[in-house]
Amino acid sequence: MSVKASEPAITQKGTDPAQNERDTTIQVVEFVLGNEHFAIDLFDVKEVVEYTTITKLPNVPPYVRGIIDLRGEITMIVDLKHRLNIIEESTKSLESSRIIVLDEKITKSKIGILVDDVTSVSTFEGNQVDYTSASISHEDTAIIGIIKRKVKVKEKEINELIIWINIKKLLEDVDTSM
Amino acid sequence: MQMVDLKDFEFMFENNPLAQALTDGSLKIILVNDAFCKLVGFSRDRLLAIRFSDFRSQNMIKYLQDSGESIDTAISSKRKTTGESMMESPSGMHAVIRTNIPLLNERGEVQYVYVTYNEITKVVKTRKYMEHEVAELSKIYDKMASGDLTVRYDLTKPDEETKEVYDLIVKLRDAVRGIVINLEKNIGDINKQMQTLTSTAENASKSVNDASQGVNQIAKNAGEVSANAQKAAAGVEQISKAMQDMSAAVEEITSSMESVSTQAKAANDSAANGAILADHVNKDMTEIATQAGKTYEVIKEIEKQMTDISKIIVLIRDLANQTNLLALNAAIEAARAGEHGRGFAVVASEVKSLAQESRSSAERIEDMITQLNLATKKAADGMEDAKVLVDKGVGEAHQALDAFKTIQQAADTVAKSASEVAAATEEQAATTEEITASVHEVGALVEQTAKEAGDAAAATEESAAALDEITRMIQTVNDVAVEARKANRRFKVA
Repeated sequence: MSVKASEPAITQKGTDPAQNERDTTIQVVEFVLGNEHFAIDLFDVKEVVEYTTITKLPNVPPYVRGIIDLRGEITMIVDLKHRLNIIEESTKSLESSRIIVLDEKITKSKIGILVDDVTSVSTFEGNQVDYTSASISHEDTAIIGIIKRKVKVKEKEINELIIWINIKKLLEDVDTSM
Repeated sequence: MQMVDLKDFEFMFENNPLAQALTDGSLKIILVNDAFCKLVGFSRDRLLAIRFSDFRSQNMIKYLQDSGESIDTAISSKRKTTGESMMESPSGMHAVIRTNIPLLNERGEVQYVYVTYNEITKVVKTRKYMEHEVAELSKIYDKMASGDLTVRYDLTKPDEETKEVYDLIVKLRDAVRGIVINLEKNIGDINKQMQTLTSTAENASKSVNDASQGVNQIAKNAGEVSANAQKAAAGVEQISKAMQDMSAAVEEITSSMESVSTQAKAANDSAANGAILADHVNKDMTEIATQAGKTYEVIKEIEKQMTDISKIIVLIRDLANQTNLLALNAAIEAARAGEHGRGFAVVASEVKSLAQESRSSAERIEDMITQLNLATKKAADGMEDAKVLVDKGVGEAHQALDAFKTIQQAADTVAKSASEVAAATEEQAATTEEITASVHEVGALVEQTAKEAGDAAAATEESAAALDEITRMIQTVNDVAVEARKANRRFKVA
């Protein structure tokens, strides 16, 4: 049920990205891993919660941090930095990190991803996304494209790059194993 | 002339103690008496059978020593002959004086020879003994005369005949020995006394030498005294001059002391003023200390309140964070709602920006609080330093006060001392005059001393001469003593 419900949102943008890239707009949740900005589709996100103590589980893949009790529901926490092999340490403390709880439509079980910070919910025009870089990506990285955003740094306009990843694909193995 | 009977002659011949014999012209013995028989040690019959010359020729008697004329000479010369003989007969040794008287007949021929042997053995022995002993004694006395008083001679033991003379010689010898012993003793005594005299003379000589040296020293000293007296005279003159200078100096001191007195009074006044000022400073410093303490308290209070503010800021930041999160979630919800959530999305965005603003404000306040904390800390430290300085200032003000008091006392003392010095100076002026007078007196005395030193030098020379004379006399005495000892040394004493 939930998987089907999420499909129209993805197909809406993913069915023909080459045609729609100029007309459609995308909505993403931006977050930080180490020094880089990442983004995932807004409709894959249910909510953002503060860090809470994680209970470790035995005999699980190393990027599975453990489980938390989120308002009565057991939620599995995946360390996304670990999953993407990002070794840069966060400048902030573990307590200031965030957990993005994913929408139940895309996963069988209830999953949250641990990120250093969640910055905003943003809307981008299709022409701001560079899909060509997705071709260089392996299966495992699950990059959809690179979003370019103009920002002013000391009176100079530069492009800030945001890595847009497909979280559902990235967590398929975890989801199925659980 | 009355004729004596022959019988009587015979009797006389026989009983005469003198040894008598009568021979004829051919020396044949005709008569002998008992004394003769006894002397020669032969019987009358034997004697009457021999000639007188048989004694010698028959070796009946040994004639050891003969002197004078023999019986043969008496016969041939027809006169009396005498001689002495020492002979050894069977009856013993005998010394005899022989007398041979030839008796002539009418024809002038020798008819008989009357021979007497007068025994003088005892006399001879005594004489020989005496001769020998006296000779020995004489040798001993010779030695004594040449100085050896220790020699002694033990007399030869006497026999019956020499006993008498021995006793006499003993008496003589003892008398001489007594004299010698006395002499010996006297020489010993003299020697000892001479020795004593010599050593005494030596001591006297030494003492005189010492005295001589002493006198020389005195002469030298007298010379030095004279020189020193001259120097002293010069010194006295200098002192006299110095006294005049001193008099002038005393006057100067008197005037200086007046100035000192005035200045001491001024110092006293200044010190009193200073003391008042120091007292004020002291009071002010105490006030400052109190104020500084209060300020310090206020700063502490501020510090405490800033800590409270910091706590509140943390709370605000938390709230902002949570608001931000809520806004984020609201934005997610609004976006998911699509068109219907558009308006809500705007609100959520506004709430988020407000939350972010409050967070950045809170952060700025936090920064300011940190700065303020640093500032207050510095202020607190400064106040503490100030407090230390103020405390020090209070202590120093006290010290200043004390110092001024001390100065006041010192100024008082100086003023007092100055007046005392002034008084003393007046006394000194008087004393200086007295000293000047005394110095003149001393000058006179020094001159007197110089003169007396000269006299002493002269007297010393006389003494030296007298000592030379004494030395000479002692030498003479010593020489005499040495001579006497030399003379006595001739005598060897026990």
